[in-house]
Amino acid sequence: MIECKDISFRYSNAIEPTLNKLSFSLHNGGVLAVVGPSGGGKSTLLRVIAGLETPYEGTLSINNKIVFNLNNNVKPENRGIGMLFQDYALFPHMNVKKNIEYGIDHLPKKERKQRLDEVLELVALGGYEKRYPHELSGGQQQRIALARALAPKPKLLLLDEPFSNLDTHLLKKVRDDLFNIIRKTNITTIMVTHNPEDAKAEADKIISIVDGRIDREVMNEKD
Amino acid sequence: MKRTAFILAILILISGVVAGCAKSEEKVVNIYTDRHYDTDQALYDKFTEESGIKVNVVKAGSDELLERLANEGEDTEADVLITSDVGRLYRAKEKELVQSFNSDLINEQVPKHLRDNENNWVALTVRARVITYALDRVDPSMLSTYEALTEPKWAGKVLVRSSSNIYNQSLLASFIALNGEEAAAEWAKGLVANMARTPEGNDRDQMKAVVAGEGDVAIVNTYYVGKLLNSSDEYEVEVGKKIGVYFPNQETTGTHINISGGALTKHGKNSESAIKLLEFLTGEEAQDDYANANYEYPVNPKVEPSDLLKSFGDFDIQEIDLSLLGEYNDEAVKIFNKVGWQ
Amino acid sequence: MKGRRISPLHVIASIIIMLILLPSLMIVIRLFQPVTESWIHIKTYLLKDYLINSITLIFLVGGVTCLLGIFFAWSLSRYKWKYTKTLEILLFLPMAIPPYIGGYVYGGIFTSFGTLHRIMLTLGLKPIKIDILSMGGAVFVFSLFLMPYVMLVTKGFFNRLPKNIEESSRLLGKSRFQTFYKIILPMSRGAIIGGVILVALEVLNDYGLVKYFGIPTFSTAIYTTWFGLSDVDGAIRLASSLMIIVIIILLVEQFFRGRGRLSQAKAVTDLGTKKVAPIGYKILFYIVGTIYLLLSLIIPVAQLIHWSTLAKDTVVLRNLDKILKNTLITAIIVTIVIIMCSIIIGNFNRLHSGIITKIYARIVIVGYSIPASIIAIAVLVFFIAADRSLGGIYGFFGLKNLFLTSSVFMLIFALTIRFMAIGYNSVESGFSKMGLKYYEASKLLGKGEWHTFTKVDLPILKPAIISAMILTFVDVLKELPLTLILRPFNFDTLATKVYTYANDEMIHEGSIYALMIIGVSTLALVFLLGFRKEKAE
Repeated sequence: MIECKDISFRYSNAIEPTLNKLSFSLHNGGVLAVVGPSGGGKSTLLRVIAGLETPYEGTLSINNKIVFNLNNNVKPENRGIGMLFQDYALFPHMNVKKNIEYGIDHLPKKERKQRLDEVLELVALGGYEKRYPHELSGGQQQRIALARALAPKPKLLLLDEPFSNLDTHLLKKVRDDLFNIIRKTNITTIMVTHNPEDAKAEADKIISIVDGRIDREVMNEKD
Repeated sequence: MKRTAFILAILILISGVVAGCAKSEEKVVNIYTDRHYDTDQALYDKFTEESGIKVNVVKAGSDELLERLANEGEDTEADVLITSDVGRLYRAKEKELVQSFNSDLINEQVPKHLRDNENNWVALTVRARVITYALDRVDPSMLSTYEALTEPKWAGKVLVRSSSNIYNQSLLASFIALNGEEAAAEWAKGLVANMARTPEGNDRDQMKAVVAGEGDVAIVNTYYVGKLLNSSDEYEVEVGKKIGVYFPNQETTGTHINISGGALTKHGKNSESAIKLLEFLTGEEAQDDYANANYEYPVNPKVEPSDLLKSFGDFDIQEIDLSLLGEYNDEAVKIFNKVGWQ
Repeated sequence: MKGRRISPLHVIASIIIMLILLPSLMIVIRLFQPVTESWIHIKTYLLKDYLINSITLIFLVGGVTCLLGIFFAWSLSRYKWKYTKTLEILLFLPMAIPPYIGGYVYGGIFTSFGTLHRIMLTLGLKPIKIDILSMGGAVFVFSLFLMPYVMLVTKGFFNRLPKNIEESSRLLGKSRFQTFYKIILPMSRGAIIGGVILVALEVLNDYGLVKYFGIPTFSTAIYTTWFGLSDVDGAIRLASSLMIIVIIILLVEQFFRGRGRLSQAKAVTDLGTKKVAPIGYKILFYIVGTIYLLLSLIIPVAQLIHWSTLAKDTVVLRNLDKILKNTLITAIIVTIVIIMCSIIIGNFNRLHSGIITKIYARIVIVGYSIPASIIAIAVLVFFIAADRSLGGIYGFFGLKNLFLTSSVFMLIFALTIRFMAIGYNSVESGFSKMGLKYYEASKLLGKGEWHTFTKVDLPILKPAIISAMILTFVDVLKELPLTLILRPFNFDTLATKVYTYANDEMIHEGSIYALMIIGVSTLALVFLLGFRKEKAE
């Protein structure tokens, strides 16, 4: 459902492009893992897809609708994409309820509450509505951030290094929990990770980006 | 080690700055003055030239100076106090900050009514507080007294500066002395009702506002008219040319005058030099300068007012003991506050 | 590293704090004298006006500077502009112009036969009358020249906000504006309030502008009561009323800063670049920015230069070198003293945490909130008492009796109390950024206190110290009310000269001095900003 063709991007003070004529596609409901060395452009790719950075050439379309090309640039707030940042970026001055409802406040009250309960249950943190982010553990924060991203029912979910902030002994459990949730929703997902284990465990397709180009692209048999 | 050296350096620096204040042997006279006209410095320089006595000047508001003198007490450095208003001289005398002095020369050079009756202060210049009017709009025959300005026909036409200014306070004090507190309060109230705008700016601003059409008359000190007419700014000269000067109350109590004067501080250490300075300032040379360079009326009867002042005409002054301007100053301030003259 | 024994550092720090407090204590003692008649007079007729005027000024100026300051801070922090560096410096420069000078300029421009009037006459137009010498005018002038305070504090905060918070908000469907309003503003509340409080304190402290504009406020009232009604105790009472307002303001600040813990995750590498602003915003920024710079920089400086040329024939720049010497030496000495005290207290606070340190920090800040007129009274009284008791020693050294009072030492002492907070703030933030780790590492490598301090701590603190020096220097340079009252014989600074000339209706002559103040402040500010940029990159 996402088509990326010849996307190139360069930071304003750089000479070399960070992304160089990148092309890939992902089917509906699939999980794509983006791996590669640091600084290779993985996170930048996510930001471009989300609309937080603007490439200087290429086309991007989601569900057959053009989201970016030379004549079009849909604003991030209108792309219907959810993103989980590396440090979760929960709004510190709002409690869990307000954080999650933030993206769905155009819904009437009843539906909002319903959706809130739904996603909280999905991430197994029902009852945490009144807590503030600083009162939660790292893992809990991540799940709330996920709930918040999922609440507006986005078409696409982007995960930026979701496991780098966690202790190793928790890694496997958190990863499993996270992807259980994701699979339940069947949402198309792109995940950036520097750990090839994660990619092999969860992804349907893996692409590796080196120096802004796709180095390898494989279909993955999940273990 | 470095730090100690640093601290030492600072201390040395400080003492260096302060050393300038240590006792010295040369003859000096130290003045506390609130007159702030550049022309004064020229006079002091002349005095130094002629007498060899160095003049040190501290300029500040007279209220601040009095407070400082009071706090310094016996240890004060000041020898002479000069103010641009008699009220403050009176207050200095009341607070026992000044001493009486006797100089035949000064007595000769300054008429009795311009000296304190106990010789605690002496006037250096005289200024009148007059009514100036727009030449193109006001016929001087319409003017008569200060009191008349409170009549309905002047509603919205009177310009005058803030009550916080000492010249207005002394003006009101003179009314209290002449007519009593109640009448003075009535006058203040009536004037506030006729003001063209809430008081703002100084005397020259009032005259500028008259010419600009904001009001028809303004209450100002005479020397400011002179300053306008002799300004290096051509617009100010224009303003000066467009106003006329009227001396109120000629048929009744006379025009209000105030003085700029000097006194000897009680605990000054250089009283001889101080008296010499006052003799100089009331002498013909200095009086001439005051008259011509700053457009004030001289006190020395041998010195003629400048041509400009002569052109305003002769006038009768209020016949009251100038000390009363000081005595009633507090009441005046309180009345201003009560009637809302800002 | 919590010291249990009383170290020399502790002693010195405590002495400094005592000295800061002493004058205020003297005031409090005198409060217990019986109420005078003139105080009753003040209370009945005048107090309400002072209160209303002071509070109105604070709210209006606070509001305007808040809006402008946030707008500029956000624009500079988030968007890319052509000549961003120049813009940043230019928008800060109005801080070099003290509000009272701004007041004299605009007073002179808008008064009858002022500059505007004349321009219109020359153009053959009927002159419009703008009543600048009013509350509205004062708000206008204050806001122009105090805006940079808010911008300074807020921009620093915006720069440290993690971008992904905003990005999350965008991705959750909110527009730029909504993001700003719902996320950025609430999170920045503490910083914004901090900036507005600085502005409020500056407004309350001002004497020159409100006096010239004829607005009765506490500061003018304190002067008039002290000197005009000859009632020191009345003035002290007024001062205490003012202090209460200040304390309320500080409590408000505490309240807003305390809530909403902003535990920010460790700074993640910020991958976002500065974007170019959308076209509508761009236009708005350029329009507002140009108008602001015109009003706060170009017009005042141009007018002052114009006036200076008018006065060049009449003004006698006598003693200019002396005035400059006085101004610079005072500023330099005060700055050095403040830096030294700040380092001592800051270091003490760093090494011993606890109630004492919190109290000391608070006391330092208090000095800044106490309006200058109060400090002046307190210090004068204190020093005269000191002079009297030290009389014997003076005789021994052949010094004159009023050695302390008649020297510039008293002024320096008062200025130190007044501006200690500025230096301290900077130094303190340097200390807290540095933390204890270098100190501890050095101690563990076998080095003693002094060695650690001079070879490790001080060099790392250097940027903070330099910032502190420049800020303090500029503030002392511009200071007016304290200097007016406490200066010794024949001692004029650039600021007092400007004040005297302006109030003697000789603003043309005063412009030259005003330009000098602005010139030196500008140099200092530009240097500071350039220096900070370097450190940041």
